[in-house]
Amino acid sequence: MKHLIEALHPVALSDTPTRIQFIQSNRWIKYPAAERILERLEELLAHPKIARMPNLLLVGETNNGKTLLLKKFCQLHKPYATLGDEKLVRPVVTVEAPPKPDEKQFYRKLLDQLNAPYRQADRLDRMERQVFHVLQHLDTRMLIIDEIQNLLAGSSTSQRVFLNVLKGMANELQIVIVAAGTMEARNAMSADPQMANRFVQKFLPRWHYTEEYLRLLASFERLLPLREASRLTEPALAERIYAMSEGTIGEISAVITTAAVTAIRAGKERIDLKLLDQIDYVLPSERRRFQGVSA
Amino acid sequence: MTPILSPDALLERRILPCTFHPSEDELLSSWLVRLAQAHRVKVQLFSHYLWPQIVVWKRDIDKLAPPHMLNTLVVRTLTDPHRIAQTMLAPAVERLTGTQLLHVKRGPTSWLMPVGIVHRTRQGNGLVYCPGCLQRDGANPYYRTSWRLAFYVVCPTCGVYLREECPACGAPVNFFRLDMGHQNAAEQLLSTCYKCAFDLSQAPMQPVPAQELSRYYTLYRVSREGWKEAVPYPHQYFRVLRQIVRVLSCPFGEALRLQVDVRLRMGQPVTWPSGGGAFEQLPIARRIYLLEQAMWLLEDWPARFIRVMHDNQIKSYTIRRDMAEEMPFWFSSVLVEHFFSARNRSWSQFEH
Ligand SMILES: [Zn+2]
Ligand SMILES: [Zn+2]
Repeated sequence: MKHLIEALHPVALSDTPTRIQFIQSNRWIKYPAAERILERLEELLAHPKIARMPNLLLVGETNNGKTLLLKKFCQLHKPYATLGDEKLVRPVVTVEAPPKPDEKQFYRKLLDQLNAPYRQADRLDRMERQVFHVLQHLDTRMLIIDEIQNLLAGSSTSQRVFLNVLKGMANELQIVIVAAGTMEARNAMSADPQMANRFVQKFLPRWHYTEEYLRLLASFERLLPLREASRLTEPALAERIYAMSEGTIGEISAVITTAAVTAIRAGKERIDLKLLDQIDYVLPSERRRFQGVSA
Repeated sequence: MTPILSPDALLERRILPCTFHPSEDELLSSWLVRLAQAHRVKVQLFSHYLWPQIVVWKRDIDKLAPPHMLNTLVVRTLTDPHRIAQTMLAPAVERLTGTQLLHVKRGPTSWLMPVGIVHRTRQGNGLVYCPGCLQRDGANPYYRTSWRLAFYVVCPTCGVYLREECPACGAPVNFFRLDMGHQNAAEQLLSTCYKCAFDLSQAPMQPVPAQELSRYYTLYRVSREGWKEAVPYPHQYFRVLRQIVRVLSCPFGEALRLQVDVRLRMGQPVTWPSGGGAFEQLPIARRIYLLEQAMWLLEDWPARFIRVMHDNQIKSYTIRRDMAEEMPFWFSSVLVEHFFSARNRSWSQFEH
């Protein structure tokens, strides 16, 4: 089983449920664009406290690996207790923006994320103070807000309100704010020159059919506990996967994962064109069109 | 032993963000109030958040909290279970009474001062304080477990009498009511009087005379490690102490004669306040009055006791009347030898 990394040999030889569970567990796959962003996040986390902290806006299309990348970063900076277990420290805190631009909702989500008790009906300013107090207490140095476009949706007034919330947090707490979102978020942020200035933008571009893409497929294959080599980088297979995924890493991963699971269930030990034909997979653009119709 | 806290365990256990350990000898209720303050929420909300199914402040959690309440604290703070158990009085009371304290048992507990229910006005002062200790605590004043024990009437560290009320308005200590009606509860130190906001750490301090203080040192040592080699367990001394206090607190007949005589022999003024009741429910001034006599009587054991009882013609019946718990041998043997008359039929009562 030379197509696999050695550590996975026992997994490849284990029973069906174990293998399927392993495949579906969202493993992190290294690729240059993500590695560069992880490095940048490390630099930001180590940034000394100054009056105007640098922030980051991570832009990428839906399902293009933002969330997984941020999760990976969080796993590298888990909470810990200080000596004697006296105090809890959470260097990095992640929160997903609420579906609507509602400040209170945002603070509630954040307090939930921090495992803090709070009063549902509290006044906005008191809630804000509580959030600041808890983040300070936890020695938080970076706040990551995923799906930031939700907060920046709506009228320009509500956009401004939220940009001010972010500005206030960054100033008062002197923490790094990492916002992650789609192109809409980028447009909203660009509308405020001051914010655009303080949020350096990083992109997670869509994948093109390049050497890099083929290297990504090779990485995937080395981590799939199949007993035979599939040779995903062979042009026929690589092109098919590319077409099915439409170039986002989330979809690439989904196609390969689904195919691998189908293979194992069918008693096959490799992914081939026939198998890719068999799997029940709707093109992402088609899926979006259907959603558009039904909504 | 502190368990190893892995980062994943920290996340899974949903550790409270602003948690800290209880201070030295801190009461559970005091720790909870300070934890609530640290999270910038009111006590009621904090306890409802952690224990939605129980009304925490309606029970005496400092005596013995229900296991699931303690479990929550073990999971959601960084403090180890052993240390959390020390914030409750059950172990201390068990040492003093020699009987296991069951949570289901309501009603009076020997040596433990009762606390009223939150929404009732507290007349009895179930908690005392030392202004000196509160002062030394600086920015984080807190309440000690020993301040709920009826025989803790002086502070061995500061050498002053403890206080049971606010010197400005006379209200008892009610630190968990501090945030009622206040928006910024977190800024109220636990040493603040809930009624008039006087800072209890600034209350006047009355020094304990040296001779009395050394008696209390002995008493507090006995409460931890027993009296002497022949009386190695605290309860073997404290059962008798409580009985002597009960005899002395009877405001008529032989007992009244006895306590007047004891005060005179101690060289102290006789000021017997009216009324009686369980020792744990008496005001601190009266507890001091009774304790000092009882401790004095048990010194030079048994010579002083025998002499004073004989001089006052106190009968053995008076001494052992209503004694609820089993009489320790060191005490019953003296009673049998020096006070028992042949006509008394309850001889068997003294035997073990
Ligand atoms: Zn003191
Ligand atoms: Zn007062």
